[in-house]
Amino acid sequence: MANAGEIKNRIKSIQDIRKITNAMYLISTTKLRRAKLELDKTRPYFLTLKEEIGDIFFDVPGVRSKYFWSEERPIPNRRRVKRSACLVITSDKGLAGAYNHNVLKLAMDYMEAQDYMPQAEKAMLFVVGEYGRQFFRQKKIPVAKSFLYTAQNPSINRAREITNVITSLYNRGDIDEVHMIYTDMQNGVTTEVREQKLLPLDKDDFQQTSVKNTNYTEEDFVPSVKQILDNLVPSYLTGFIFSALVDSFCSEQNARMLAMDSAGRNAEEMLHELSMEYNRVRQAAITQEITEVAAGAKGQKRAEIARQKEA
Amino acid sequence: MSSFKLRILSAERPFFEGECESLTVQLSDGEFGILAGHQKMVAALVPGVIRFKKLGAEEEVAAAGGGMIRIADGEVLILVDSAEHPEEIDEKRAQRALEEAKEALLQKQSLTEHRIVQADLARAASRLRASRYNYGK
Repeated sequence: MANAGEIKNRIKSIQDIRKITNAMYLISTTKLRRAKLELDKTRPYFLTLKEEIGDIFFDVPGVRSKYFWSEERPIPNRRRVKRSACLVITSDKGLAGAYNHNVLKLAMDYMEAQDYMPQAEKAMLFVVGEYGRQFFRQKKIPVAKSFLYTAQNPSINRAREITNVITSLYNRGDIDEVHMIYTDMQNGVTTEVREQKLLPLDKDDFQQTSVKNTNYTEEDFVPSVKQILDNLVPSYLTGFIFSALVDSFCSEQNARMLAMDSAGRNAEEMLHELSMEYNRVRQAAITQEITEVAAGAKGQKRAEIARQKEA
Repeated sequence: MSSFKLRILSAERPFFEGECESLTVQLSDGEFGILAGHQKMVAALVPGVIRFKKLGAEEEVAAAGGGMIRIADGEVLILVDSAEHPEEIDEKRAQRALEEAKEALLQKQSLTEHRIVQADLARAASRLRASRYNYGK
């Protein structure tokens, strides 16, 4: 059995760790709240934008855009999907339960299904977050080199830059399809890893709202339908990527909160056990000392009596 | 004077909603004025200054990024990447950003970077112009 000093040391170190996990828990809570607030402010814009794109696409007959794909309206001058790129959103650091693991597992599954052949010079894997980059480096799967975005505190500007990188590759014809793997926050408690196609846009993703009496004709558009769609689609993608970044960030914080909460609870349990053991050891030491003192005293007394008898 | 309903949504926040008498926006071929009863239209907006006159009030200005405007059913909807009140703009910073963007435009760079810098330049210029509206009053 360890002695009292050792146990006391152990208790001290566990208390310190619990302080850290508790602090991380609190930080995650505030970060989560702030990110959600940010998203709520941008929501009206992107929802309206989505409606508008849907209206234009459904109302104007024969709209063709490089960003849209549907069976009856194929994209002009575009081959069937040959090269697809993938945007994977992970976190910058671990200590968040299974959060990163889940994302990366789906990413690996996706690449296997796509028969993704990594080529160093033309890596089409865009990874947000340091954790994912490290993971792919270890697996020797090349990722886009200059794509270095952090997952911390998502901002609309970062989403815009990501959109710029992706749409310019898409417009140049270097990639024919873009997918995104992120963690969706469903209702504040449950999270789910999702794979979603970003480009080309699918008609099915846009519902025809048609509450408004739009009935657009070609002449209503200045300068042209194509121009307007080309203007709007990158903004729409920005919104989509931004909400994915925020959802992922929230999920990460949520996972970390849970992980830190259970770590805190485990620490509590260990502290309880250790303090019991410490008390037991201390008691044992005291008892032993008393026994020793008593035995010593008794021995002394006996020696005294023996001496008196001799005298 | 008759009025119409105007709604301006920017990517960062809902910017303005209310009754307006007149509105001026930037299209790719120049300024474009809108009054009540305008015909149905959808147009692409370029970064620039948006001016709108609230019902029975002074004209207001805002620095806006690119986006779209939709006029339908007597309602005007503006969707832009960004929108700012003049008093929110730090003129010195906007000036600096403008100079930086001009400088960056001179340097050799990829097409992507060129586009980004060009957008930066347009945004900085429009912010600067909007911020000066205040001094004119």
